[in-house]
Amino acid sequence: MGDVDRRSDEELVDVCNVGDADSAAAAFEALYRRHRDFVLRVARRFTGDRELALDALQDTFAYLLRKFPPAGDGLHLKAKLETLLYPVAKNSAITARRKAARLSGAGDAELEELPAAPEPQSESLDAALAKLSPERREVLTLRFVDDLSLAEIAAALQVPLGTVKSRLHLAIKDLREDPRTKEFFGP
Amino acid sequence: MHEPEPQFEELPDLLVARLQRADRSQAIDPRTDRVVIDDARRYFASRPRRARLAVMRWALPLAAAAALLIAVLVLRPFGLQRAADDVDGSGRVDILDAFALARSQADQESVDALAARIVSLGAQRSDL
Repeated sequence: MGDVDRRSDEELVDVCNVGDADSAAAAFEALYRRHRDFVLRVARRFTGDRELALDALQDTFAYLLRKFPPAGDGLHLKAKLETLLYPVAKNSAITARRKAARLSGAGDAELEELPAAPEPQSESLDAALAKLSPERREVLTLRFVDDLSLAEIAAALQVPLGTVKSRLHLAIKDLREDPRTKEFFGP
Repeated sequence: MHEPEPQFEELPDLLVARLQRADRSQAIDPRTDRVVIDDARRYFASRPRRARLAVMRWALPLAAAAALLIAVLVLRPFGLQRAADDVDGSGRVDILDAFALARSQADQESVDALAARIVSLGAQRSDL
């Protein structure tokens, strides 16, 4: 695996597109190991449940796998792989959550509360973060936890860049004004 | 890929740390890893194993060449047929072979023919 690990995502994707059986499988495994934590984080945000998040993780990589021949036409990366994986992981997580909710008899109204807020902690800071709207928290998380640029967030969310800037600005504004977090910003 | 972000878009470090803590990744169990990796191996298994074929493509001619070399080296002493004209088995064809043929009571025609060939060979060597 050592040699594969040093390759860029673009190179690994190319091997998955055209490589022989062994090298394509090794390249895909390297992509999986490189991005599985990101995908699990995203899936957990939208399921709020570890087991459902693991299901979504498997579904996400099964989707990615089938982008490559023989089933798919191949993949041509134009941006970071995370921007492709994010919507897939998000949708897989939402689907897994809906399926689980149906099985447990939960109503549709409950299912629309996406993404799931982080587990409310006793600390006021966590409560302030959980109070952000889902869209603003999503952008804030992609920017500061996943370290994506604004353009990459726009690609991942498939929304205009201006929307991302606006959501991020409002998220930070909310935190500045929230009495539980404004002290962190200083005078 | 990262563009410079405006300063007002920054969060205090403590807040970032708290966000990261709330969203920390959890360990992925080996069973999940195995499911994904095995799925990939099965999926790509339908492709040709080019690496192995490439080895085979070289291995076959190499094996044939090695076998040929061994055959030449091992069998050469036994496989060398003496030249028909080297009657005395000296490894050379010269006038002594004509004498040896004559002594073996071969017919005169054969002895004369051998002598003619020896003269011819001698002429070719001197031309060289």
